[in-house]
Amino acid sequence: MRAPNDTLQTAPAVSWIVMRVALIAVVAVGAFALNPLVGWQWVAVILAVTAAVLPQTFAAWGGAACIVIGMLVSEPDIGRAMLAVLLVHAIHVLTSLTLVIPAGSRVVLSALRPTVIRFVLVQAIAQPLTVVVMLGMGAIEGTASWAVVAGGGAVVAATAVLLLAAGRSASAERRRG
Amino acid sequence: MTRPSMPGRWSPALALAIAGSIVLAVLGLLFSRPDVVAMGLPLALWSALALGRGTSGVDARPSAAPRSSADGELRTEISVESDTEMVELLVVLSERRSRRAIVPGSGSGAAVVARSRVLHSGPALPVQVAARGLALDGAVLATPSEVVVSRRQVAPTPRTAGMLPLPRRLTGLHGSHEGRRPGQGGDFRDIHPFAPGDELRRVDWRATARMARRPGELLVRRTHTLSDASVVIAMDTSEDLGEMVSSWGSGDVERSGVTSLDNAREAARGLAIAAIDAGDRVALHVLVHGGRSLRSGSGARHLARLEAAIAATGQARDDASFRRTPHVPHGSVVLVLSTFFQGAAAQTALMWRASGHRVVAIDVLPRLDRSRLSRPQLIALRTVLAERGNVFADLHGAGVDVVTWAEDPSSALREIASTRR
Repeated sequence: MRAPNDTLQTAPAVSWIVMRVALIAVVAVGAFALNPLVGWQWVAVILAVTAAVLPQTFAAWGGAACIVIGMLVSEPDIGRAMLAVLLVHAIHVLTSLTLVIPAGSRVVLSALRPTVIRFVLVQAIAQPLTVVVMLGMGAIEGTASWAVVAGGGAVVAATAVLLLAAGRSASAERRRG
Repeated sequence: MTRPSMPGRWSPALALAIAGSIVLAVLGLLFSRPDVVAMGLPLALWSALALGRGTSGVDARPSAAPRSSADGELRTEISVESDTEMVELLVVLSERRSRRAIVPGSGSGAAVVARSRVLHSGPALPVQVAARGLALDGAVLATPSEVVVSRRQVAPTPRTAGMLPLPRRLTGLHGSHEGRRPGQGGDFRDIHPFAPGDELRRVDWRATARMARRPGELLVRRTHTLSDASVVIAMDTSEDLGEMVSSWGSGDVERSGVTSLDNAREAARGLAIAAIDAGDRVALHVLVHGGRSLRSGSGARHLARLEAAIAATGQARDDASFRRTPHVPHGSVVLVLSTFFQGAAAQTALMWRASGHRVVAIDVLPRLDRSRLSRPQLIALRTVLAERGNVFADLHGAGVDVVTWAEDPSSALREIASTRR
């Protein structure tokens, strides 16, 4: 076979398809492991395939919603909670990446190093917090535990602070220019 | 001059992460489920990191540097100057196909090498590259950079042209061709009575003893002078037609095969080398307005200039007008390189011939491959080739020799050189 006329030589890289397939795989694993309802499992897979084909539809977030539904209909469990924290984060990161990695491109593996480091950092904070929250709930069985209220309140407060910060930075950028 | 750093913009991923973390927290509170609340934790943390980072510092500036090329291949090293996490590169290779790559931004050094097979001689754009900085898993997007272009000139393969025809009258004073004027360096011309200005060493004593009519009369032995010829190469760049007729007008340089401009550049280089080797002066004119012109000159340095100019000669723009009257030194051999589909080059050749120059029309159309042509296309091709035949007949009638470069140009040129018009 004749060598192609034009080639681009890069460091070790993976195809764009790998990122899309990884997104489908993560959503499918999450749906089948965390959602006991068969119908919702297949809805999640279909949404993941849609997101892989058309990332701008954000359909992978629908897949994440299917995982949340599965969590709500199941009994709370520390292992499942830790897996859900891992998978929802992975779905979000892969969705963000598929939005900016165009079809037909190659992704140099070393370009993904900051993504992997950030992923590990966030998980290193989120997983112990999840364990603490779940253990706190286990201590006070049957009622809305202090851990739920404290955790929910903390997340809402954090997001409120973040939104205020985002508004400030946006207005500062507008003033600059 | 350094370009000011432009802030990037947020992708929808950030808004989704913030909204998702809030929704999960609210759902967790409503259903008394801390595990659902915990699912929003990584999204909240990720959003906090994103907002803490901001949208600045994502500019990316690509550069393309030519590297030493192997035979038949152009290599270009693409590097990116950026402080961001990753950079999206859009690379157009030899104007034929585009490739995209996501490469690391900061501290990566040069990582990408573009390779393009050389299919044609002449000016080439092996790489056109634009870059866009990305940060935070693609949540921050920079404005795409300007397109950086790497230009090269591919010299045609040298091909021996052999002997070139000479002008009817040699006017130069130095060279290797024997002229008709008396002078030095050439073969025997005649025996002539001594005249003021003749060198005494030229006196032929035996001829004087035998043929002198009066006492004191001296006869000198005269020789022809040696002269150089003036060669003008005129390139018509209005068309670039490949050997695959079905690719004409498509711009498909991969399927076209050898093109008329490939042949024209090869012919121009071969003719220039042959003329300079023979000690002649060579001028080059590209027959479009604003086209390159090199004045007459000789020697190795002038040949290097000619080769560089020939390698840089590409197809003229569609709207470029034909230049009909470039200056040609008196008593030149004019070699007109064209496909002669358009009458302008033939008219210019006829005009030069009418001015008394010796003109050779060099047909640079490659051998045509008529496969994949429909019947109407075949008829159209036959029509334009017949019109071209008429043009050649007119040229023959006016005393312009015609040489087909795609066949055996050296023997055709030798044959023409041996006949003096």
